[in-house]
Amino acid sequence: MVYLLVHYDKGKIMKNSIAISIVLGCAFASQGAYAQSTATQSVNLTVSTVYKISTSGNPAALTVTTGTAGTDALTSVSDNSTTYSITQNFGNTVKITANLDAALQTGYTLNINLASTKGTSAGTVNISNATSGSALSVVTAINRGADASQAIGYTFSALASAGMLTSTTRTVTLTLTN
Amino acid sequence: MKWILKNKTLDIVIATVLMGMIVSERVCSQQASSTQVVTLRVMELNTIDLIGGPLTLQINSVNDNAGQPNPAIDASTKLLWTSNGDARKIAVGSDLASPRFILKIAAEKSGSGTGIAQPEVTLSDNSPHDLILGVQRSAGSCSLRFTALATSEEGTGSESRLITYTITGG
Repeated sequence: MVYLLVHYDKGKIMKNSIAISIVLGCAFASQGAYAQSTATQSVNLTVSTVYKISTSGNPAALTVTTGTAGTDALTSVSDNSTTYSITQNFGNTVKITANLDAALQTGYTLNINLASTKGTSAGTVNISNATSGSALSVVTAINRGADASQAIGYTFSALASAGMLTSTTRTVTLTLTN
Repeated sequence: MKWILKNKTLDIVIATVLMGMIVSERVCSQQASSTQVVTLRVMELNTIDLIGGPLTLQINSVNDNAGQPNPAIDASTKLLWTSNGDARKIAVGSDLASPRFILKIAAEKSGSGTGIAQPEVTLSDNSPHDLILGVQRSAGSCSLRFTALATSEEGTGSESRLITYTITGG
């Protein structure tokens, strides 16, 4: 029979326990440092000026067919079947101008009228002689935002003294600008 | 660590692309336009009208020296017209092919517009007679003078006539 005597030093055991605890504590501490990290990024946002205008198609043909005996001004005809829509974020000085690709002959008059809920309509504007270099304002002081499906009205009139007019086309350009 | 670096590179690329898109949008959006095609036409137009109602021309006096009844005259009717054609004329006609009494008519240019009044016309049948020639693109007007004549030999009586005015190509 062998008896193993084990002699232990209480103080040493305490010291070792403390040492082990310290080591374990450092291990936990270092593990906490690696679990959390951040990265940052600077992002710059820019909103640029946006202009958009569209129309719903072409108006019906404007044909003068009647007049009053003794009166040179024949009976005018109108079309209100088309609309326009706009979007702009520039400011409150934006306007819409209108012009023809070529002026009308003397004695014929084409008027345009644009409705607006975002700006001030100029009412009925005679664009008979407004070409690209002399476009006329038809809506002014348009506020930022969108204005959809606003009415476009055309009125065509003629003088008897101007004679007959065979079917003629004009391209009307509506420009949204500031 | 390598995975984190790669992710950062991708983020930078995306940010650069977005910035490029924003810059290009600014260059293109200073103004915008839309066009419409408008078709215009003026048809040939000739219109004529009268100011004045039915007339009654009564022959009821005689000039003792002439021996024939005095004519009855009326110039209260006004004729109006508008034409956008060239070289038009205005013709006048009666519905009576064989009238009993004489009726004459003349255009007296008192208003505006082009046209040359013709000499007084006697409506002795139902065919049209030129009243005004050379009407160009214009609106015009004139007075119409009616003269009714009868001789003593024709006796008394009455007859009605429907007078028609027509503006046509000259």
